Parts: sequence; C-alpha cells; structure tokens
Amino acid sequence: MSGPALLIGILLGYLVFLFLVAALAERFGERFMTPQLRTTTYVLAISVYCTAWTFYGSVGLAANRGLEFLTIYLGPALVALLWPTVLRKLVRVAKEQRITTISDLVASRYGKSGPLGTLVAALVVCGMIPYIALQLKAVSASFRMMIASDSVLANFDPSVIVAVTLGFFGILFGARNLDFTRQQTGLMTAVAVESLVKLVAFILVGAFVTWGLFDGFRDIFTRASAHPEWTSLLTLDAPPTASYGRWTAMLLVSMAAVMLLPRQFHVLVVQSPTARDVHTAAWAFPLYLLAINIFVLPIAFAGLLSFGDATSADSFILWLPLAQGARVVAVIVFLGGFSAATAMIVVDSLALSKMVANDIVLPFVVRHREFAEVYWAGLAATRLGVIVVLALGLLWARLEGNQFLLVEMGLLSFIAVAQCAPAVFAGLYWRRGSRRGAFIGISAGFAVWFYTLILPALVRDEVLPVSLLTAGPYGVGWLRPTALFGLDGLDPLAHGVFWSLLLNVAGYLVGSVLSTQDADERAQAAAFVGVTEKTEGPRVPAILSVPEIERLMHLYVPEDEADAVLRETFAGKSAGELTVPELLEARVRLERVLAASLGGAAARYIIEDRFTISTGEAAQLVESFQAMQRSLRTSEHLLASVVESVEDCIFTTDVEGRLVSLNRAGQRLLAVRADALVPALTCLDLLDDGERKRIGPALARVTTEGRAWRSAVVGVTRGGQRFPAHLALACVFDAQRKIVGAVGVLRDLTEQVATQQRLIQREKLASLGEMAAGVAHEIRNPLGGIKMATRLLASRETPDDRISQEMAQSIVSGIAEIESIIADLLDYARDTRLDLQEYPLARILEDVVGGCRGDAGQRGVEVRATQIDPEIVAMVDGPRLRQVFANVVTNALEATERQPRARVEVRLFRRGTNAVVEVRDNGVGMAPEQREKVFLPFFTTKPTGTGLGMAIVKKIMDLHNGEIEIDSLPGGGTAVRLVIPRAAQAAAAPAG
Amino acid sequence: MLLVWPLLTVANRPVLVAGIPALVLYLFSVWAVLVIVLAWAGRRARREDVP
Repeated sequence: MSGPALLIGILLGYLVFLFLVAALAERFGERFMTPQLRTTTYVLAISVYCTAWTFYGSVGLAANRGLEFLTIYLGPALVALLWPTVLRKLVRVAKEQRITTISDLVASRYGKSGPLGTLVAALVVCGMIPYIALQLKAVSASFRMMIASDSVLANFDPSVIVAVTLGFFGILFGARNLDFTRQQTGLMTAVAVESLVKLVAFILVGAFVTWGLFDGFRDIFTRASAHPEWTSLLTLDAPPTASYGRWTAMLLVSMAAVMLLPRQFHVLVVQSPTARDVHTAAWAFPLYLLAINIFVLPIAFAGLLSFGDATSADSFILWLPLAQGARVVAVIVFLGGFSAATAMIVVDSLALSKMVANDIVLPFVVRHREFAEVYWAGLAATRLGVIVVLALGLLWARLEGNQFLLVEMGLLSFIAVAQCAPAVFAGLYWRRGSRRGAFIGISAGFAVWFYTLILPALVRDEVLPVSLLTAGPYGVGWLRPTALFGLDGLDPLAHGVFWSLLLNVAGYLVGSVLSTQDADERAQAAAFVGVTEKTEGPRVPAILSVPEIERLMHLYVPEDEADAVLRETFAGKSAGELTVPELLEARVRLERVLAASLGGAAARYIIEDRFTISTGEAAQLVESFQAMQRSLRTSEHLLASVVESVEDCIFTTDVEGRLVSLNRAGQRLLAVRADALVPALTCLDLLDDGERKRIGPALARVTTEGRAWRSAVVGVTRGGQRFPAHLALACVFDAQRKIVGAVGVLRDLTEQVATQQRLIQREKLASLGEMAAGVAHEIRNPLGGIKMATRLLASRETPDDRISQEMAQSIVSGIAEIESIIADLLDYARDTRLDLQEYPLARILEDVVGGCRGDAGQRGVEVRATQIDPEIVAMVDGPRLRQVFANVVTNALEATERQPRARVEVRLFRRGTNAVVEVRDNGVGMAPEQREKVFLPFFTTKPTGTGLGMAIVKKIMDLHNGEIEIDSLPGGGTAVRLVIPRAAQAAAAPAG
Repeated sequence: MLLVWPLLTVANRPVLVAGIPALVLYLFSVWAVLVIVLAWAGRRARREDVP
C-alpha cells in the first residue's frame, strides 16, 4: 500500500497544482487564451458532469445492474442533438438577462419573481447536498483504501481538509466578486485540467485492467459470459438489470440534468464564451463521455471475475491495481477520482452558494437593510454560502453512513433538479407559461419526488418503518410511496420519475392556463421566447434620474466597471440631454448589471424601490400618457378617414417607388386589392406604358432630391383601361428629415375631359348659331332690295325702260352684295393655308399706305407713315398680310372720317424678336364692350360692311402666330398693333 | 428512438459479437455515429453562425 505521508503529499501537491493552474490562467489567460483554446477549455469544463460518481459509481452500478449506468451518459449525448437550438437560446437569454443560476433563470423568466427564485433555490440546494456528500464520501473512501489499515492515519478523514481547501479555492477563483457572468478563467481552466486528469486516469486504468490483467475485451466478456449469474448484466429488462421503463426514465432525467444541474448550468450556460461554442460542445462533449465510458464494463467485470462478487463494486477501479501491487496506477486512479470529486465540489458549491445568496439571503436583505450594505452582504452571503454548502455536504456524508450506493444518491439529485425542466424549457418556447404555473408545477414535482423517492430511501436506511412502503401511511394503500394511486409494478425510480414529472407538467400547464400574467411576466416571457412585447395595460417602467442611476451603479458595482458602464450608457451626454427612452434604456442596463451580481429578483426590487415618482404621480403619468395615446389615435383615425373618403387616388411609396399604401378610391380606380399592394406594385404600375419613361426619372428625383413634381399623365387600371389623369408627387420625410418615400395624388380626369369636350362642342354650336344669324342679317338687306325691285317690275303693265333698268340694276347690285358676303364668309370659314416667304414688311406696308391715300384724301384724312423700319423681315404670306394691313387701315380711315384734323399714323418697328405694325388714328374710338366683340364675325359699328373684316384679320394673324393689341377710348382714337414674329421665329412656326 | 424500447430489443440479446456483448456493441456504435453526425453538423453550423 502507498505510504500515508506520500499520499497526503501527493494530494496536497495536486491541490497546489490546481491553485497554480487557476492563478496562472487568471493572470495570463487574456493574453494567451486563443478562441480555440477557450473553446477547448469550455468543452473540457462541461465535463465536470463526470464526477466521482462516474469514476467510482459507474463501475459499481455496472457490476450490480449491468448497462444501466450508460443512461447517465447516453441521455446527455442524445440531448446534445438539441443544443444548437435549445442550449444556444438558453445561452443567449442568460447573457442578455445576466442570469447566473438556475433559480435565477426560473425567477427571471416568470416576471423576476423573488418567491419563485427562493423556492427553486431552496429545493435545488436540498437536492444537491447529498450529491456533494457523495463526492466527499468518495474522497474519504478512496483515501482510506489507499493507506494501510494499520496506519496511524487509518481513522483520518481527509474530506474535511479537502472541503476547506476547495472552499477557499472556490472563493478565491469563483466568488471573488458578485458578478458571476464574468469569465472565471482561472476556475474554468482548473476544472478543464481536472477533466483531462480524470479522463487520462480512467483510460489508463482501463487499459491496465483490460490488457494488463486480462487479454483484452474479448477475454473479459467471454469469461464473464461463462458465469450465468453475470450474463444478464449484459442485457436489459432481466433482473437485476434495468427494465425498459427504468432505462427510459433515467435517460429522460439525465437529459434534463446535464443542462440544469447547478454546476452544469454554471459552466455550460453562464460561463459559455460565445453562443457559437455550443456547436463544438454539442459533439465534443458526447465524445468525451464516450471515451470515459469505454472501460467501465471491462473494469466492472474484471472486478467481478477477480473478487467474486459486487459487494465493493464502487471500489473495483482502485482495488484492481492495488491488488496487483500496481501502486503508480493506483495513485493515478486516486488522483483521477480526486480530481473528478474536487471539480464537482468547487463548481457546485459556488453555484449553490450563489443561489443561496441571490435567491434566499439577498431578497431578505434588500427589504430589511440599508441598500449601501447590500453589495457586501451579497458577497459575504456568497462566500459564506460556499462554506455552508460544503459543511452541509460533510454533515450529510457523516450522517448518511454507508447504506446507499454512490449511484443512488446521485440519481436522486438528478431527479430533483429535473423538476425544474418543465418550467425552464416550456418557458423558453411557450409564452403563456406563468409564474403561478411554474410555482405549482415545481412545488408538486418536488413534493412527489420527496414522497416517492426520498421516503423509500429513508425506509431502506431504517429511518422510517417498512410499513410505510408495504401498507402506506396510516394504512392507506393507494398512498404507498412506491405504488402511488395504485400504480404498482413499476421500478421505484421509474415510478418516482413518472409521477413527479407528470404532476409537475400538469400543475404547470393548468396553473398557466388558469392564471393571468402581469406586465412583468409578459415582458419577461416575450424576452425569453423571443417575440416583441406589445405594451399594453397601465404599468409604466420605473424611470430613474441620472444621479440615481450613477449612485446605484457605484453602490453595487466595482468602481471601474461602474464608470465604464455609465460611460457607455450615457454616451457622453449630460443629464439634461438624455431623452426619456435613453433613461429607460439606462434603467434596463442598470437592472441587468445589478442582476449579474444580486440576481434578477433583488435587482428588480432595488430598481423599483428607487422609482423616483410616487404611485399617485405614476398614475397621473399613466393617465397623461393614455390621453396622449387616445389623442394620437383620434388624429390618426381622422387622417385615415380623410384619406379614405377622398375621391382621388392617394398612395404612398417607399424610396424605391414600391407602393406602401393605397386608399380605397385608389383601389377602386385601379381595380387593385389592398392585400395585393406590397411588394407587388410600384408607383409606375399606375401609369400607361408610354408614361413610365417620363415619370420614372421624375419619381427618382422626388425620392432622391426631395423635389415635388406634378403633371398630366395617362393612368392605367390593372385591367389595362387607360384614363386621363393628373399626378402630383411629393417627398415624405421622417423626424430626422431623412427621405423615407413619396406620397402621390392621382386624380382621374375622365369626367373633366368629357365636360371640357362638351363645352367646346357647345361653344362651336353657339358660334355657328351666331354666324348663321349674322349671315341671315347681312343677306336680308340686299334680299329686301331685290324683292322690292322684283315686285315693282312685276306690277307694271307697260314697262318703263328707265325704271325697269334701275330695278334690274338694283337686283344685280343686291346679288353682288350677297356674293361679296358669301365670299367674305368663305374666306373666313375656309381652311386657309399660308404661303410663307420672307417679306420685308416695310414694302407691304408702303403698298397698302400708298394704295389708300386716294381714298383718304376723299375722306379728308391725313395718312402718314412714320418710323418705318425698312430692315424688318418676316416669314409671312404677303397677300394675306397685305389684306390684314389694308383692313386695319381702312377701319382707321372710316373711324376718322369727318373728324376735325383727321389723321392716321402708320409705324413699323421692332419689339424684341417681333415686328410691330402700329396703326393709330384720332377717330371716334370704341367703348370697352365694343372692343371685346371686335373680332366676332358679323360684329360691326359701321352702317356699311359685313362685320367679317376684323374676324378675318384675327384669323390671319393667328395663322402667323401673331397677336393683335388694341388701345381705344370712346372719342380718344384707336391704336391697333399687329405683332408678328420676325424671320427666325416665323420660320419655325407651323403653316396653316 | 434507437436507444429506447422497442428498437432496443433488437440488440438486447445475451450473445457476443466479436467478443463484445451485442447490446454493448450496439449502444456504443449508435453513440459513435451520433458523435460523428453532431461533429459534421456542428462544423457546418459554426461556419454559418456569425459570431
């Protein structure tokens, strides 16, 4: 046997080694820890799952119950299939919410409920204490085996020293501060190294036994098969091996436990470097489990073959090398088992102490002590919690004795923690899961766990009478702990798992469905499930002032971290510059920072307690807010109502021109359904194909340059029907004046265009009527003369040649007058086409002035051509223009006839790009109403004339793209200016 | 499904295959395949998973 002093030296040396590894990792980890190394450390640290229970208990279980031990490792390997989704989500939520323990997770999910956190923490701690006791027992037992029974240290129990040392280790590298979400590099590295040590040790002893003591797997299994009493250990469902029911129950429990055991949650979720590392852990961890289990059966059967029975099967792994005198191998095995136990003890005690501190002690402290003391109270509670948890473990180990196999104790702890599974996993995906449901489910599950599993264990330990199991409490048979409600025949463990989880799930579902979530629960459910929470109801989150946030941050967070968080939160803004949303964001950050140290429930309590306005003020704030919301909603409805009631098509687009909304009129006009809008149609789809090229760039300018745009367009319905329209587009800006799209109004002009055409038609008919009346009027006079002359000729019996001659002459004259009227009328009505040529206007004008001088002389009117610009040339029809000039000059002569010093002046001059011919007289002039009608056919103020002259002048001038200006006053003379485009402009004008 | 009743009964026989109990061989084979599948899927997912 190994020398006791040497063994103690090795044990202490190993502990020193662990301290050294943790200290070095803590100091240099940031510098040397590459992402790959961090991931490897993470995967190995997860393997803290394999404890002394694995090291010693698996062999013991295999020797007693065959393959059943594999469920403890197959379950986690199976559930790893779900890690890329479930664990990844759990890690994301935990990091967002700064969650540090499983009780904190449950409390946070269900509205940061303090009582629920306390319940889970208390129950999980109770469930885990036996598990820690199991590790300490393993250390003691293995140490005793290693030293000689006659040694002076035969009665020495190293578990106390180990517990104290590990407590110190945990405080130093885990509970240095309150924030467990920080990377505990030293602790994680030490745990990873321990995982390596135990794996190497197990494989080494496995190889030693398989190939050193036997001749390989075949040899061991063949020899074992020769013993009928052990053959059944290689199958299932045949005593003493597990039934299928027990097998399935253990698989199920292991699947939950690998994620929910306090140490597993701490390493797997809280200390996860990144959510991506979950992908690596999902295959590397099952591989580790596979490797560490390969030699369990060979060692178990080697032990049975060597020692004949399974009485001390938990110790086979040590007894086999010791029996062969292989002391080095035995020491390595001892170190492997020791490392498995210590890693579990350190991480579990830390996780449990954090649960005790955050969910049991701190909720009490924050309600009854000054806030300034909370940080130190929390830190003290956490550190003290480590000691207390270890002390309770030691106490349990001493009290419990040796009745249980290691594996039994471990299994009960697994089933206890699995009671959190429904609340945790349903809480991640089912939004309706409520606090009351979780409370009922977990309480029911733990109660049934205690009743169906712990009570029978106590009976086996002879603490309680056997009649409890055989007859039931007070003789009530259907309440027998191992046959609850008459369910008999199941394996006791499968029976306990079945009833505890069934009632747990049922309680959770019924409680959730029948209860109503409050605002906190709804908000947290939304955060966990991953959907956006609609704010409803009257609850207003606490808004803290900036000084209050700074004060709380410095109270509960170390100085340097507090400053860093505050800098990041306020982004350099002063208190006055922060908006309400920014203050709300700051409050959320503060709560999460506090949650990392104190737990979600305590953090919420502290924040709520510092709510800076009274309940009455909060109610007023809520009322104001709701009134504002109502007002906004009313305005919104009014605006929507206006838009919907307008008969024009109103639409909005995004910056790409895609239709975002279309009012009802638009939907009717374009025959489009509202649900067919996005993203099927763009603004251009409202227009005819031909218009799109024109409108496209304009729309682009609207949304890129912010310009408004309007134009007549041709719209098109979805059915392809075209219609005349007017489109107006304007840019839409957001609050930051950033362009977010455009708003357009498309007005259907079909009715308007039809009305316009009807009006034009009516005007044409009216003109025709007026013209017909004028023609009738003009023709009637000569017809009257003709009629009278004809009657006179017809009434004479003896014709008088002279009179007959006069009558005939009168008839001819009348006919000539009618012909003249018809000629003028035809001239006016004819579709005149111009023969445009370059003409010097002075030449045409001089011909006209020269031609009328004789007539002017007879009328006593002086005609003067002054300021005639001989250089002016225009593209005109010379004879037509001569007709225009002659008509205007003749009108002037007639207007000045019999006026004193009658005078007509003619001028030709330039005005910009035009030529102007001005005919000014000092005649009778015109009243304004006469001037307005001067261009109407058959309108005349003269006793003679058809009234078509000025109408023809207007028509010819229009054909030349010219204009006529008339200045006239009654008795003040008249000036008529004929404005004609000069050569360059006239050439460009269309002829006819 | 491969690791619970009824599929488990297929391998649940007291015989040795190449010197290894049939059920043991079956369970460890399923386990190894599971690790390989998870490793393959994990490598793909990790590549696609933006940190």
